[in-house]
Amino acid sequence: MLKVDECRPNLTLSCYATHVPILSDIYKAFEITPKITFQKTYACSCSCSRIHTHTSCCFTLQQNYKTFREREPMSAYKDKDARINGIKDQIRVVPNFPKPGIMFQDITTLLLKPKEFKDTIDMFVERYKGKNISVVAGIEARGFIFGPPIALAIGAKFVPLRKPKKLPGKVISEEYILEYGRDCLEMHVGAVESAERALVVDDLIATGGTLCAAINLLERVGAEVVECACVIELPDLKGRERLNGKPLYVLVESH
Amino acid sequence: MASADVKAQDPRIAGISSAIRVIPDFPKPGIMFQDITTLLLDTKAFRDTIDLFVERYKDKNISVVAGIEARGFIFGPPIALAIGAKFVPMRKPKKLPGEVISEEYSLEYGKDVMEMHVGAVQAGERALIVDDLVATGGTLSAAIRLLERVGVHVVECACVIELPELKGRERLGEKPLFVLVS
Repeated sequence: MLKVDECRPNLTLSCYATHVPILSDIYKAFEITPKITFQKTYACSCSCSRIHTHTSCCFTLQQNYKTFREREPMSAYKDKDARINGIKDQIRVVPNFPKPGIMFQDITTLLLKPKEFKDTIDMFVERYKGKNISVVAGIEARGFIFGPPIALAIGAKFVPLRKPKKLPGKVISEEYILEYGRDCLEMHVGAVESAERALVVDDLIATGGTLCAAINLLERVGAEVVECACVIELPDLKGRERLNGKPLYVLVESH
Repeated sequence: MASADVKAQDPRIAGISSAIRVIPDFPKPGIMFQDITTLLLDTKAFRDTIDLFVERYKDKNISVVAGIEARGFIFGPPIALAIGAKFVPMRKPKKLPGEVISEEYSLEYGKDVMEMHVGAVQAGERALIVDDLVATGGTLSAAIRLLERVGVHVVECACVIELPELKGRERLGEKPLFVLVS
């Protein structure tokens, strides 16, 4: 356990009951960008003007630190894996679809390139194999293209999450908000059991609304959502923040 | 009952067939809906399903696997990846963002339209069309027409399930159809 000086910004990790450095300072010190859900915020007991954030116990903070040190980066593009540029180059941008002003990220051109399509799947499989994931949930319809190959390779079941009235059996539904109006995502009752570890897969994350609905569906039946995995992220739309604290892993970002 | 298309003794068929759930009266009364989502929950049966298709097509010089939205998107890509072919989604109208060609087809009441991206396939390519199930064959026929219009040779249609009483096989004309379960 490293000692810190109180009230100093660039602190190493410490463990104090009432005075813990803001975790963003730790990010700077170790150059990691994890996401932690803060549980309490205290004014600093030493009367400096900083507000300190304290997790529920120091053990949690230490554990998080350990996890973040060992954790792979959240985005493959930060990894600079050699396959990433090939994948990114195959994605076609279609302007003004489905409406003016939107630059649509078209993955169908990636699917026309067997090597790059295989690389895409391989990168996800390498990340999730051996992590005891028993469920891959894919969001209709483009999540159906990437989810099943991942599921097959890691030995997990594939669970389709669908628009209303498509699934024939008994379903649970989760409503979510769109820019104008609402939509609904459904999952078959009994597809997933409590305590199963799940991955949610889609081609792209924009605002995060659909992924958030998917996470809710899985958590409502007691599954643990380990991570969300997408080929593309539109970081300007801040979807990452809408995932109830769940981690997100993407291969390519597009501004 | 195993389809006559598959080697009668293939031991994997029984597991695949029993993993498919039949839901009565969906989407409307009188229809016995063949639900493949339960097959996808059985990791061995799902893998066997893909393997049976891959074994059949892997050395046939097939460069295109076309999958019909949406359940064809589940079976098509794993087959495409395993045989080294590209995957081409065939979609309902207004879903594909680029320039498309469209093919109209008849439903029981009314019509529907299937679309494919221009440039996805080239004349002379050899293609497989994949869907979860063939009923009347209307959707598969539209897919065949779309591909043939751009000069592609459709080698075969491949489905997990066939409903033989709906005579879809006849509607495909001389195009071969391969299924695992009838």
